[in-house]
Amino acid sequence: MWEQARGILEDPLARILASLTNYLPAILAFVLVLLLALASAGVVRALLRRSLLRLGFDQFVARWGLVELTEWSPARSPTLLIAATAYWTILLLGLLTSLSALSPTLATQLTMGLLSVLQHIFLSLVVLLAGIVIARFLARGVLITAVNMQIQSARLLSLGVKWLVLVFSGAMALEHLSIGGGIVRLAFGILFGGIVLAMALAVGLGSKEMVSRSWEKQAGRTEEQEEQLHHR
Amino acid sequence: MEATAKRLHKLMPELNAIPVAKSPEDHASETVEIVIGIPTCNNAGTVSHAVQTAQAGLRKYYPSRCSVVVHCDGGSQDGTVEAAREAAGEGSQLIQVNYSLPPLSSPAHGFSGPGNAYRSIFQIAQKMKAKACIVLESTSPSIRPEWVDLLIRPVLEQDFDLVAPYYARHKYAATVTNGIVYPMVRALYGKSIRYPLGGDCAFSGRLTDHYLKQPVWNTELAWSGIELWVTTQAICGGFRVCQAFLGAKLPHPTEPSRDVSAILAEVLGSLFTQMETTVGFWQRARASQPVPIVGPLSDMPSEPVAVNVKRMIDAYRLGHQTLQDIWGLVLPPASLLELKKLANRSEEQFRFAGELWARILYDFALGYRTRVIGRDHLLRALTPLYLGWVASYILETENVAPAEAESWLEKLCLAYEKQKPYLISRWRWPDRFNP
Repeated sequence: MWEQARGILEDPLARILASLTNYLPAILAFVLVLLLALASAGVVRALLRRSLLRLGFDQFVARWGLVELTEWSPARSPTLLIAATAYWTILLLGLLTSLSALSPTLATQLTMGLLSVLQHIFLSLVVLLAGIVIARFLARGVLITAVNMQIQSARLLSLGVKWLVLVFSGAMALEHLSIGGGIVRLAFGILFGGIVLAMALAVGLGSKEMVSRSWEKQAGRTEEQEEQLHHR
Repeated sequence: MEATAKRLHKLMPELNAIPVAKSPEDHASETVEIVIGIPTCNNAGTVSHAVQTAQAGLRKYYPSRCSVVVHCDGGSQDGTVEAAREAAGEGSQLIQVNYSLPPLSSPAHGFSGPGNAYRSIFQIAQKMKAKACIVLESTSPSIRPEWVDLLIRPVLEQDFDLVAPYYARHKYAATVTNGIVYPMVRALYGKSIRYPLGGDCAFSGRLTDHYLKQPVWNTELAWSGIELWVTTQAICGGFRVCQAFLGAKLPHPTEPSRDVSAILAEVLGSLFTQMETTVGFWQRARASQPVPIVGPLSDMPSEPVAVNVKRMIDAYRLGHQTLQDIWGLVLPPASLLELKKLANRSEEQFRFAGELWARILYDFALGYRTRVIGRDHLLRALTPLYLGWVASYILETENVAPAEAESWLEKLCLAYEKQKPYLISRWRWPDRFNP
């Protein structure tokens, strides 16, 4: 009976041990690759952080006027943002590689799915980033031009232009991610139309007198310059 | 003249000489001593006066010298070429050539890219071995035959290389030159040239050869800032410079007024770009030296001019309210504080200190160099500050004679010179903390 019981216990144990022995190299490879990825991610993060700080990357970003990037960065440092992005990207790639050691099929499926999602996310981010840069540039240009034309509501105009471009690029990015679908399109249409209508009303009705005064001033200024003051 | 044009074609096939009316004279075997260049681009209304005055000046003062007038046109579409030919008359000494406009510009947009016109005129002067070369502004109704003599004589008889113009202008005319270009060029390059933007200048053969060797042609600088460049290059090259007192200079009555911010962007863009290319020279140059003036001096015009100072102060205040963020990118906190105090002052007490103004200009020059924001935006953001300075200048000089206004400008120049170490320090260490 003892022998019988031992046989019953030993057989599954042997099978478990055999399975473990079969899987052990794969598990070891999984852990090793993960550790390697972790180590290389840490090294890359440290190297990036050190070299970008030495190059004064944060100051360059500030000079280029990418304030949004600074605002979204950890500790308001774009260097840290880039280092963290590189760290997590390497870690993710390491995880996918290590998963392929356990199950090649699962890893391939995961990689394909992730690449497809990442592609969309990347393109949406590019659209959004381009929108932010264009919005800032146009807003600044409108602000300076409006002030030089002595339009009192220069800041409002500039803000309107900035949000028009931001809303437009945001809607494009969401459309690309297939988030919201028709709702985003509809919301964008309503929002965009609303902003245009509000501006039209403000110029046409609400600020009629202000606009006419502004135009009168503008006309008076031009005449004065033509007749009297020659700057060059 | 036909022969001259043919000879010119042979010498310089790259120049597109416009066929000219027949001429009995043949200069092919002669060396031309004087070349007068007149650059144009859609100036049909004014070119006739410029061509006829140049010819009259040559006939009156240099009848025995071999000379030629070169009309250099940038593809005018309003009949400028025909008007110049008609004004010169049959058998005249007029050569007409085309110069190429910079990319993305069109003759329809007005006079652009005069740099290539200057280059063509200098090339003709070089090939013809001219001793003196003049460039006259085709848009000015004030050109007189005497100008030809006043500009050429110092080159031919006194061995000067550059003769810059010295106009008798109203104290409120050329405020960009008065408040920015003259004091800044003087402080930077150490030469007191009253109108560095020139327009009507004379050059020696040596100097035109020097210009043609410079790698500036077909660059942005040559297209839009050539008038200033010829002056600063002559100073940096160590050439002998003087000024010719030409008398009154009036803008053409039909000349369209330009947007102040566009003028500032063009003039300051050129000045700041040249600061970058001549940094080795101006950082070594110390206190300014006077530049001799030739020609009889006359009184400055002093008739009253109506200007709206209140509008300028309002423009400054609006700029102060709205453009703080942009100014804050280039100006240190101390300057911003002074600007805030200025914005709160009443019209009677509105005075822009010379040293503050000089520091602001130097800070903008540094911002232009370090590209804090887009360069065009940066230069245009200076407009409210400039209008504030103009308002202060007018308030300070409204009841004084033109000579006293000049003394006031002299003090401004000294303020620029006094603040030059500040510029040098910031230029060398732009990231150093600046309170």
